[in-house]
Amino acid sequence: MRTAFTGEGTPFGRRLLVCLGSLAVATGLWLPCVHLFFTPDVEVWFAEAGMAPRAKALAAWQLRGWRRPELRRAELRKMRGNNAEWDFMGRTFLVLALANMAEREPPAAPEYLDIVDAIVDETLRLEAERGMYHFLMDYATGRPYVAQPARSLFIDGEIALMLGARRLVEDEPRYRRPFRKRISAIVASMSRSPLLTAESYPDECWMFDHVNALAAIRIGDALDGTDHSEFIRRWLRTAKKRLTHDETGLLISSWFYDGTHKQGPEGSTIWMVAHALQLVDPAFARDQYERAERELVERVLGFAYAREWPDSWQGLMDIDSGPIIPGVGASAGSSGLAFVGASAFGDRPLLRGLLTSLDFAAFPVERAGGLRYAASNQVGDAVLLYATVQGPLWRKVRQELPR
Amino acid sequence: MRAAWRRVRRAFARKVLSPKCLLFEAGWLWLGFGVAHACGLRRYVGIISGTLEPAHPTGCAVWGAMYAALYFAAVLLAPILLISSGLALGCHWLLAGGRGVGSAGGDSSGCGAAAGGQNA
Repeated sequence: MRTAFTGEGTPFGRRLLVCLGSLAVATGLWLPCVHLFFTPDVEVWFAEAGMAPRAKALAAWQLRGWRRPELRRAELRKMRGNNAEWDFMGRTFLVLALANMAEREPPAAPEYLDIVDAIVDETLRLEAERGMYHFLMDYATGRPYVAQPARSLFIDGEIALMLGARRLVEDEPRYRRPFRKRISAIVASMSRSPLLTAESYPDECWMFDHVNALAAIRIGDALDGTDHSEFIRRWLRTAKKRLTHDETGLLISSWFYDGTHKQGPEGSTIWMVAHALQLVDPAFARDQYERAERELVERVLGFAYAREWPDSWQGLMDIDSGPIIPGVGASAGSSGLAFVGASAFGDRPLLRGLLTSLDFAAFPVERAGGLRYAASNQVGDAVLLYATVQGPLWRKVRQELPR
Repeated sequence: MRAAWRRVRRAFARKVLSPKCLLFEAGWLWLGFGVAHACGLRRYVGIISGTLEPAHPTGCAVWGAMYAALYFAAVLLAPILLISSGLALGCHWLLAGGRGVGSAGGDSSGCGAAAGGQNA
């Protein structure tokens, strides 16, 4: 047996053949089985009512981050050192998640709303003291905005979303005026352009920000009884005609202020866009989700991931896409936000595949009842948390909107 | 020249191709990952999402990439090496006509030495 173990006595050619053959067979046996060690029970992550255990663990980590200033400072330093937008978006997704959690767990709502208020108040204070550029990437100051006075739809839309989410759970009077002012500013700045679009960065308009802003407007209609349906209809007409990628039928991700396309469809944009469109035009939202799923999702050996671009459009790897794995094209940004899309459209098979990839490749860290992913950051974990709890808030808006 | 080539081939066969070597290679990968994990390198894998410690971005990227590479090697490659070690062992045993139990006087594969074992 020892001879067999060392291969002694077998001619080199035969030994090479045996080794390569064994490796090939072993690869064929092992790779299709790997996913079995990482495939979770979707119910552990997503619950119809209340909160699923893994969602609770994610929330525990996020809440700890807001309660312990030293943890928050360290995370913020890391995120802002790479991208100031992450700081801002981490707030938005956490507020949206907490608002949904408050709807799911009414006894814990006061605790969640305290943190929502702390986040919203600090965000408004920082914006007032340091200006919108505090939450934008450095190149925002490189040249003037085309439309004056300069406003960023990225900032306005997400602040309106945060305020609207807070008010939906419990209509705190001190947030009514800032919310209504923000909605008016959004509608005014979009109305200035013939395409009904507004800049997020100088001469850069982003679909992500437009559809978030439209969702905030719809929340406003539900809360304050306003009616922006004609404005939204006009925007949708323009977007379907002028801001759509011909080959895929997907909404593009960015364009210049004059309407010239800048970047085609992107995974890091379209998943959230499809979700936000659920408040604006549910049929169009589903259409965009199904197209994105067809164009961007890959399933390999029990794993699923999302690419940043469809085959018919190639962009450059950037801060939104995150690093792209060469060869397979898996994008951290697109795959992370695909959770939001899959959860919003109840796509359990895709959720299972994405969760399998998450536990395989995102390096979970569990400590003291909390869960985070070492490959991710606060904003990535907040997006994941939001995906696991989203639902109640959007349902509430739809119920309260005038028929 | 032919003698040198033969020596290289023999060394390659001993150090890489034998079932024992495949087993040790798997063991080394697991050990490497275990050491990296014990050293706390997992905290640097933020490189996957492009999140690096601003004070030491290059150091973090290197440690994070090393940890990720060792993890994937331990999860994907090491089990393949382990399974193929078993398969190759079976093949060699069959090729030897089911003989060979205790037929060699010692281990000359070179892997045992590399792993700290005896090498005749």
